[in-house]
Amino acid sequence: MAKIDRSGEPLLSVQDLRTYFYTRSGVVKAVDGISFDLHPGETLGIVGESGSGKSMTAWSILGLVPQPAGKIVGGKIFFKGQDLLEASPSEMRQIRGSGISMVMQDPLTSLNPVFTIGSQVIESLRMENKGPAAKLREMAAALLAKVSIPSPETRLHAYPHEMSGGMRQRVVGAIAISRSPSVLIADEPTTSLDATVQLQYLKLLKEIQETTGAAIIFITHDLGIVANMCDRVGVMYAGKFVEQADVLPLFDNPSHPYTQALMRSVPDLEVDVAHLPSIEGQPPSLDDLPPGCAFAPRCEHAFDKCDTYPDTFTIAEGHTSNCWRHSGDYSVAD
Amino acid sequence: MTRFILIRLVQAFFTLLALSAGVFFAVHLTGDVVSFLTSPQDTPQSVALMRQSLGLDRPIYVQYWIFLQNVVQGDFGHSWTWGRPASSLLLERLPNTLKLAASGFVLTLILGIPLGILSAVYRDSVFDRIAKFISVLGMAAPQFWVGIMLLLFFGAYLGWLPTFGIGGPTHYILPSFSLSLFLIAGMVRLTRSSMMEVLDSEYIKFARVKGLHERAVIWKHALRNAIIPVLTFAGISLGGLLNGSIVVEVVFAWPGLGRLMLTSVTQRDYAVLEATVLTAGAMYILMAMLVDILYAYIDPRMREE
Repeated sequence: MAKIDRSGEPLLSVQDLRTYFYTRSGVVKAVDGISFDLHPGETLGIVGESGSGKSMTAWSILGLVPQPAGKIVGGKIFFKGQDLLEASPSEMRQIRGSGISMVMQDPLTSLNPVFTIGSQVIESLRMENKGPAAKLREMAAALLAKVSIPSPETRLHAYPHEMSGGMRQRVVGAIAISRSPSVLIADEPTTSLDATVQLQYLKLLKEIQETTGAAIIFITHDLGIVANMCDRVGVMYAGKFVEQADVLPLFDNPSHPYTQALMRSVPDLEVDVAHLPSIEGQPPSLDDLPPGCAFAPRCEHAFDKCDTYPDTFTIAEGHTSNCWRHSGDYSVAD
Repeated sequence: MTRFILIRLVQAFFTLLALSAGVFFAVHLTGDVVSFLTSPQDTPQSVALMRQSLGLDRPIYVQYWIFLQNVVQGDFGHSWTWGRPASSLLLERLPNTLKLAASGFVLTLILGIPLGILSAVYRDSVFDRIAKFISVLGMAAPQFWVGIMLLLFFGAYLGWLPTFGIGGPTHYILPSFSLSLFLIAGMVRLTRSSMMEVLDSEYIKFARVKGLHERAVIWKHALRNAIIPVLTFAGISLGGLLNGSIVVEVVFAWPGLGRLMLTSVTQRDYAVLEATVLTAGAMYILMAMLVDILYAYIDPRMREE
């Protein structure tokens, strides 16, 4: 993994982002105070269980929070110095696709079934490149070749249902990078692929990053992928980051009890066990969070102080954890 | 695509054949035609003569074969009540029904589809509320009642619109509206739900991620998918409209196919009955076929079945 230069201005800076949903059963705090910086060429992993707010963080950055229930109620998102929360709809459209792009979970449904692959790729290219149709077709074919799709010219005429899942995922990737975005968000892009295709796709994302220099936000619940793909990791629980660190320190020294539990739940192939380890209890419901640490009800180390939300403690340089255990008070309990 | 169309044509032909058999044999099941045409005073000889002259003494499958041969040549037989060939009656009434159907269909499309789309895109807006009101009203109110209420209000009370018969353009307003209200309601509901489902799909989210204008997202990406079930409904509706609505034609004294069909049933005018039912059926089958072909044109996945 190449060393990332973090001295310069971050490409994307999310500061105290809060995205709430106003529903009949109450306010759902899907994203509740997320902050991170993303530098050019860096890969940030966002890890957490389903419903922890990972995807909603991505949608908030793209300005596509589901309406009318969802609303960004606080924070700032700076992309190349511009606050996206202040951007006009047409500025946001310009940024989507050409500045920040995204590949989504399901390759089977990300492409419109009634248009050919070619028309969907060209549609994206056309927003930036004015030119004769033949030239755009050529560009589209080159783009498909870039994501290793065999005989791209003929594939342009194919409909999504005529391609395999892995192929479609590549097409989605091709469209996402068609306008050379500097940030690519990958929202669990391999969950619905089978294992062999998964690996190829991850390799493809790495290649894309190497050729385009894009920064990637990798949303996943798979720690194995994080270890392979990411430079930095944010562990998300109930709408908040509970731990942030570079990838090696995180795996060497997981500090938050939730991160530790996640790591324990990865089965070790060398050891025979009767039960696969899991984290006891259920993730909390986001419309009814405890006032303090949201993980406390499932945490084996929880003590009285956990009733108030923990401060951010610095474990090492660039490694933070939100847990009271890092304060001096923990030794009294336990 | 050519193969697809050919298959549909063959299927349409056989459906039509089955329909002709159904109509022919069903009519013959309703009783002996000869007993209806003769009086009890007639001698057995004259009854037999009548039977022979009508060809009813021959085996039923031979009769059916002759019927088919005639129908292919456009000859549906002679109407006993009108004293004219059934085909000439048909040709006289059919245009009236077609014109009414066309205006009702246009009304259904221009009101139903846009309202459905708007109410799906702007959920809980004023469009959505109008759409919900129309769809509940149209679904719940019976056609004859809608017709009579419109007649009373716009015809009798306000005196703005003619109340019966066929004439200038104003004659079309009330009948085509009462004819299509039910269909508009269905169209609004179907377009709305279909559109909402499509708007929730991943490819719509991805279209937005690509940076497309919301106009392109809705009117190109979403509509082309959402329109598929709507199209089926439109085709079937048009098929239904073309058959002529018996209720509306009776309420507004509209000289169309539906009323002709009704009289032919009450008069046991077999030639006219067979002519009207077969024509209506043929138009229905034709519409279904056109919808299928259009369907395959819009949705590439259909072509491969």
